[in-house]
Amino acid sequence: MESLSTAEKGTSASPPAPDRLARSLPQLEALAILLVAALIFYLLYLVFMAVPNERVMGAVQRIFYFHVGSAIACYCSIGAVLIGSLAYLGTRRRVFDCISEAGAEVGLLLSTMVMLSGMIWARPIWNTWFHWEPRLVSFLLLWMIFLALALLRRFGEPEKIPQHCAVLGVLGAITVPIVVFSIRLLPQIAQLHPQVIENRGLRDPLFVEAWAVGTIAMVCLQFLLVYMRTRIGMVQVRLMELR
Amino acid sequence: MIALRQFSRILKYMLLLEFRVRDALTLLLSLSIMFAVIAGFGITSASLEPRVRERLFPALLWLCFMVNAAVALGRSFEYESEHKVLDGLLLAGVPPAVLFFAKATVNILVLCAGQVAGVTVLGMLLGASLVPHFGLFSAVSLLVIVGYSALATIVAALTAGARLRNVLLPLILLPLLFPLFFCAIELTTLILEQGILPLSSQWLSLLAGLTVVYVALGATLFEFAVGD
Amino acid sequence: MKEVLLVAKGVARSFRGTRVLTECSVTVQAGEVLLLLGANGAGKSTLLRILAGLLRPEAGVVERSPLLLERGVSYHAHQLMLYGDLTVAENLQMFAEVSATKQAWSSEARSQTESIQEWGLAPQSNRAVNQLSKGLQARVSLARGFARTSALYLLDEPSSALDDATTKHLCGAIYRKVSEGAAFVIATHDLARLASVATRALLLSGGAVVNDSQAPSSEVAAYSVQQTIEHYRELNR
Repeated sequence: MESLSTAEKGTSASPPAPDRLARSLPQLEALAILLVAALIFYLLYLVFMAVPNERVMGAVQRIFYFHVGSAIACYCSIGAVLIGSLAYLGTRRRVFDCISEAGAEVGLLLSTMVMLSGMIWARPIWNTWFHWEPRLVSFLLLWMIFLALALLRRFGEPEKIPQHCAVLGVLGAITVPIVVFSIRLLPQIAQLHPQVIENRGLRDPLFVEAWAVGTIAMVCLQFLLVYMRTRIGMVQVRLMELR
Repeated sequence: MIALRQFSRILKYMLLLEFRVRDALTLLLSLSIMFAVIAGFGITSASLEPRVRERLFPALLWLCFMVNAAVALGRSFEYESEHKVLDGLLLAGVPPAVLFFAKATVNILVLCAGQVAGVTVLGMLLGASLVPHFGLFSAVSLLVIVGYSALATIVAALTAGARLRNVLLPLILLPLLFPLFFCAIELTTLILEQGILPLSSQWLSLLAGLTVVYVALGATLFEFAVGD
Repeated sequence: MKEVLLVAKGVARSFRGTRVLTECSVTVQAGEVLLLLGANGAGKSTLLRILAGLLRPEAGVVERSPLLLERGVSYHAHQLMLYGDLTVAENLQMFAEVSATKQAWSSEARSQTESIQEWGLAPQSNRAVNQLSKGLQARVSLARGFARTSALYLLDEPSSALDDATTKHLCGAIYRKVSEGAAFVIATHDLARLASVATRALLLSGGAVVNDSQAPSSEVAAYSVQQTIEHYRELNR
């Protein structure tokens, strides 16, 4: 028989994890959940019991501790979408599609939280729900990108959803830094959004601690949610293969 | 060389198809008129000063383009989806990138026609004119249209087989294209107010960069949009 | 020993959440006409699309010989793969011009005129494909597929819309291509008209090959083409 050039191999769900890791996985997951829960409870304690009221804005300023961390976690989510999408297009392994899908869902959730918490803060402070200023507009567009990913996942051509969503994931992730950069070129849009970190505005050590714990907690929560959603996605893939 | 020949042949037939069916230009002209009428009525009823009207014109112009383009390109893969002709061309040995460039070129020409229609109609009904700045505005328009077509071609390929594709395409495409529109509006305002287009303008650099990035991304990712 | 063009091993694929192919293996050699049998939903169309390279298998491997990669595959199915608003002549001309074979461009253009004559499409050559009847559309699609000199022809229900005369012509075209060294895989229920061209038969059931008239191993029952056809009829009684 003439030797044949290999054209394509099939790819299914990822092979089972090495035995030792697989056995200790439930304990590791439980530990991760407990750690994140502890961080969040500590954050809640700091925000509602420990930190003093901000002098100018009052109680509504406390949103800051959830808002900033969620915003950073959103950027982590779009990173997960980009990595998952590129890896899926390169290897066609479903686990990467699941990571991309999880990143997009969690990103949509977190960006909605950022927008809502921002609006709740903006109403008493700026007397408006929304203002056309760089950070808010770039976050609105980030939210719309996550929404676009969710829409394609929901309504796309059924057999091609994983690779189509991977393509859109790459396009969307590349758009994010472009949007952030281009918005900042607009000189006539005033920078209304508080530049707290850049201007070293956190004077009280408790403020700094609450901000740090808030950021770490939200980012860890994001990773945990992406991980759990990826596991659910993989179970769904396995179920389909067994049918 | 073979790829170039394949590109020119496929482009010839795609253009023949557009010319034969001729629905694009009718659509674009009708939409431009409807948009201009509504915008004109709104501006008149708001009793805006001429200075404010002038400042609004670039945004209205590119909003009209955006609406036109979303509708015109929504139907761009309908001819291919009807009988799955892209599968046939791929099996005949045409590289996906060649298909992308052919389709994007057709879309560029359709959008150029749409832009001419839009600028003419809006200029006449809203009392603003880009004729004195024809050269500069054409250069900016061409860059925007090339970037828009590149991205729209690949997103249209993603949504060609989807449910509610005519609604899905603009919803997915527009968040990706806002930076392009920011550049378009800023540069058009600069041209209208000062009659110049400085090469050192950051907006121009950004627009040129975006166009190159979108064309490169489109050509690279198109095979994943049409293949399995 | 005939040249092996394509080997598919353990190919699996799902469609809309249902496993269509589970563990499908097939070897295609040059010069053979392989009849692919199976009930509706057995996975014939899916297998053909995987062999054509239009679908990726979810498991398993598809290996293609250098000859197959060079000369390519022709695929005919329910989808016409033509521009509906272009004429017959324009469609065939386009495919002739873009074909990536090593033939000279002028000979490809000549072959388009010959195709139109060969398949009796001269009266319709200046009509748009969408204006034709289903039977004529199928003829144009076959003309497109057969115009190119491919190593492997994959036909999915090629005679379903054709009259007897055209089906006879199709059989003649198959014989001519086989004599030039091409191979065919034909999925069909039309055994009365197409069984005579087959040199080998494959029966798909439950997503796997259950009967191969020339099986190399003893795992799958080896019967003649006629016995495979009888087995298929029994399964569908």
